[in-house]
Amino acid sequence: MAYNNPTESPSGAIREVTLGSSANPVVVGGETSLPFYLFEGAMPHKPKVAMEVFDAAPEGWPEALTDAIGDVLGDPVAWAKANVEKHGADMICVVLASTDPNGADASAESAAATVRAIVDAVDVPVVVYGSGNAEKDTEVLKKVAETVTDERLAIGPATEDNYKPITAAALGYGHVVIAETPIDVNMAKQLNILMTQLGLDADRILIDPSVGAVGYGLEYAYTVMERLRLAALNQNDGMTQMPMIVTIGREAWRAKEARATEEEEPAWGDAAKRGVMWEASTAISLVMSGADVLVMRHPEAVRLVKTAIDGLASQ
Amino acid sequence: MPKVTFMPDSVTIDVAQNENLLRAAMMADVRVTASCGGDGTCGKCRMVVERGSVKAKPSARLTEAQVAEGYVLGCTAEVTGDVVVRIPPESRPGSAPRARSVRIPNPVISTDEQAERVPDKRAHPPVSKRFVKVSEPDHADNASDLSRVKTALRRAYHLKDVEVTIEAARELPSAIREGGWSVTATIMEINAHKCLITGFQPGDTTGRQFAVAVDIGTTTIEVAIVDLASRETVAQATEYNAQVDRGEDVITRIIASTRPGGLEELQHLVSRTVSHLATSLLEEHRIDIEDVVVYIAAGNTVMTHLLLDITPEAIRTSPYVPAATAFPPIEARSVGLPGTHSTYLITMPCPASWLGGDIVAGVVAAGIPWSDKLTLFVDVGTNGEIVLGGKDFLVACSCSAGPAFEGGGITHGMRAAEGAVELVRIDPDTFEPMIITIGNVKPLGICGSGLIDGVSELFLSGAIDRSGKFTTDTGSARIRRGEHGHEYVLVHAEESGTGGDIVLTETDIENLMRAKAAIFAGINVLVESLDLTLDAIEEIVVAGGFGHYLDLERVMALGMFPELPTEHFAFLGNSSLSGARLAAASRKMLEKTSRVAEAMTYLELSVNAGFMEMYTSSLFLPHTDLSLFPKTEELLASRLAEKVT
Repeated sequence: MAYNNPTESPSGAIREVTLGSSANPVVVGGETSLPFYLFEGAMPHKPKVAMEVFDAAPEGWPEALTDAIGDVLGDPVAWAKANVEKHGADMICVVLASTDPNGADASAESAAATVRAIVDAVDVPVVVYGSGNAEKDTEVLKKVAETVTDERLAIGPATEDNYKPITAAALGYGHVVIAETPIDVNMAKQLNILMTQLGLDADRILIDPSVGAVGYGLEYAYTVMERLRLAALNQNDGMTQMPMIVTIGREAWRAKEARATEEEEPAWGDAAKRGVMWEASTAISLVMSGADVLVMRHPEAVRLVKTAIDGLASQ
Repeated sequence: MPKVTFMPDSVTIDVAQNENLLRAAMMADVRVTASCGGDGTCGKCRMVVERGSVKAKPSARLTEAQVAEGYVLGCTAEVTGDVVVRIPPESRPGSAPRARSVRIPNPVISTDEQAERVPDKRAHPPVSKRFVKVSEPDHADNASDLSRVKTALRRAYHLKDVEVTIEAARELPSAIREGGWSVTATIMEINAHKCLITGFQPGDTTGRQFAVAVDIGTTTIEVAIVDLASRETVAQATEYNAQVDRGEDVITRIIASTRPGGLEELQHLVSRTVSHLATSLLEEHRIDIEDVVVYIAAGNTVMTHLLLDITPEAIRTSPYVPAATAFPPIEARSVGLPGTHSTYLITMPCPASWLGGDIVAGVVAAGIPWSDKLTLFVDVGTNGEIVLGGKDFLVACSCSAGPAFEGGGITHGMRAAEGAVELVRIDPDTFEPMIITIGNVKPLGICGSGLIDGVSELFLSGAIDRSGKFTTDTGSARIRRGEHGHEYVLVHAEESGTGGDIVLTETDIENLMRAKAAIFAGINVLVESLDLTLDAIEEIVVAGGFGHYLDLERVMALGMFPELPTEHFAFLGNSSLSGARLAAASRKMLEKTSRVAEAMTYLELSVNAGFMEMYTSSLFLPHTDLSLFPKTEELLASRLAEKVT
């Protein structure tokens, strides 16, 4: 008798979340197996890369990063176009950092105008992250939601503190909400319950589990994501079946190992390669733990990760 | 029990004789406007007596014509028999009456029911007086006084291996002669083979013998005098533990005890409180201290150490071990308790640092060591102690719930004393509260059961979401932004006894949620440790001060206890004192406490991986896994659907 590898067939499935315009929609999620366990189920949509665009020129980024992005850095629309046209971004993630009340405190209107311009300039879906200030994000994301009504955006982060108004805005204008919780299975689930109880369909939510980069809690993030995925698939737990979005660029480029110059750390080798590897290895690890949307920064890291994903998906 | 029927809701509820009419309405879930705490000043809780009668106080808030029509103020009326009461429209806070047939109040275990749970309560007391007559010595029979007594004890009561204290030996010659060769011995019979005579009295004094049962709580100390001749409790009283000034919880007490002279001081404070309670009760009932044969004390491990003048220092630091888990009987006066040399103190064994004699006593009082049912015992206090088992096994754990259940750490929290809001109902349409206080006076603060009620009602009325955060778009002025986030005004300043608003803040709600999450997580860890599921639990015994007016539906809605049928629950009150009383009256009960303490398996939650996980998932209303609370989900849906939109 021929030997067959034992397989498990999970009872649950990840929901499919559709983003972007009706003419060019992009679907994420839909898995019926653990990541790339293609012998046990299907992964109808490969993980997507959403390349970051900041609404104002970011400060303090290492040269290895700014050199690779080039002179579009201060022009969000050009940056977005370059990401799509030159670097093959599946989506754009607009980070509205300038709205931070502790920083430039830009207005909700100007932020919404930036998002509008990017949406008009590219034909891929747009993800919008506020500055992370719960109160200001409420105002900004509400404005963004009502300004762009012809495409389905993903807006966030919605947290326990501001999920109500953000969910209401998404409900009103047909967007998807990014639900962010601090690296905990139960809290992720709780926020999903709270949001769906406001009337938001479960397929209009992306989970942002709050990840860490290599060396900065990656194992913890990996485990929490894996457990969310196991609950979704094996226990058919509806409140964990949303696709996951992970903010890799932000975390990887915060690491000292990614930022230090060769002068500062001569023993660590080529700074340009080092940062790229830091971001790429974080991303590939998280793809293996179930990430559906990878928010990334460096074009070269994106190229590496997309190659890896394609390889894994065609095994 | 009198039946009260409320119209137009047509709800009937059985209440205790002389129960307050407003309280009866709240327990029956009938909505009535009531904002003054029950002291009669707001005059809003008007009700009309349609059939039967109540004992009502006259009120300036009612006109003569109204009184003639049968109007009373619910909060100043007492139920004396079956009665039908109509709630007039002006007393309703907006919502329409709901048709609900009968509401069953909490199943509080009665004395008779409790007696049935413990089969060995009629055995001989562990310490008692025994009367003997001996023959007068002569030249033919020149055995000593003591030999004569021992022989008589063996013949009359089958007592062997009887020993005697030196103080008793000193008393014997005069007592035996004064009594004309009849004498009463005070004997400690911890077990059938080891007896110790601690004193002699001339003649037969066995009609006058008493024990003092003591529950040494961290916050309050309760004392009961048990008549060993009749086995009845003749008196009972409570007082704050005088140690409270040295810290509210056991940890601060331990710290205080390690300061120079600290242990001595704390020992003195606890024995002073017990002495004061015992002395005043004995005087009041004209009981001679010489007729008190024993003190039986049950307390948590730290309190027991402090009473016995043993340093509890090592309990606080890793690996958290107590000095001893069982303690020998000692002369009560050696630790400052009133008594003669023949009055001994027996303390209940404490199985672990965080599992004390109070729990052992409670488990025995609840009859769990004899029960065929899988029983969950929960003592809700600063530490939530949880025991699961039956006659074959017992597992236990202790989870730090924080002081919320005792009103601690709550903005306007207070202990369950006069003026504490203890019952709360909130109208889901207007968010207007109805409240009643202990003692029916103007509200001063909120006690544990009021807090549980209040948060549960806020949740069921949709004023807070599942994470305990306020819904801010309700339009109700009662929900407002306070100094520290949002809050709910339970009592307006003009109606409170403090002159200020009494509020429930988001932080208060968070504290209560942490406390309930710790209890629920502890219960789950115990159940899982036995590879069982929650529905395997056949009975839940809830011990602790509150419970009388606590509404089960509301406690369950918080997700503190598993959602099991109401008839599975039993409220026991102060089970630690009950256990001490039973042990004073029956040697077999005392023996049982030792065996229970030895048999209990203690699970340390601080090193339990599953506990934290379960705790976080319990920090939600009622729980992250909604399928665990189907009835609450139904209740929530029906309450929200009732809302006038």
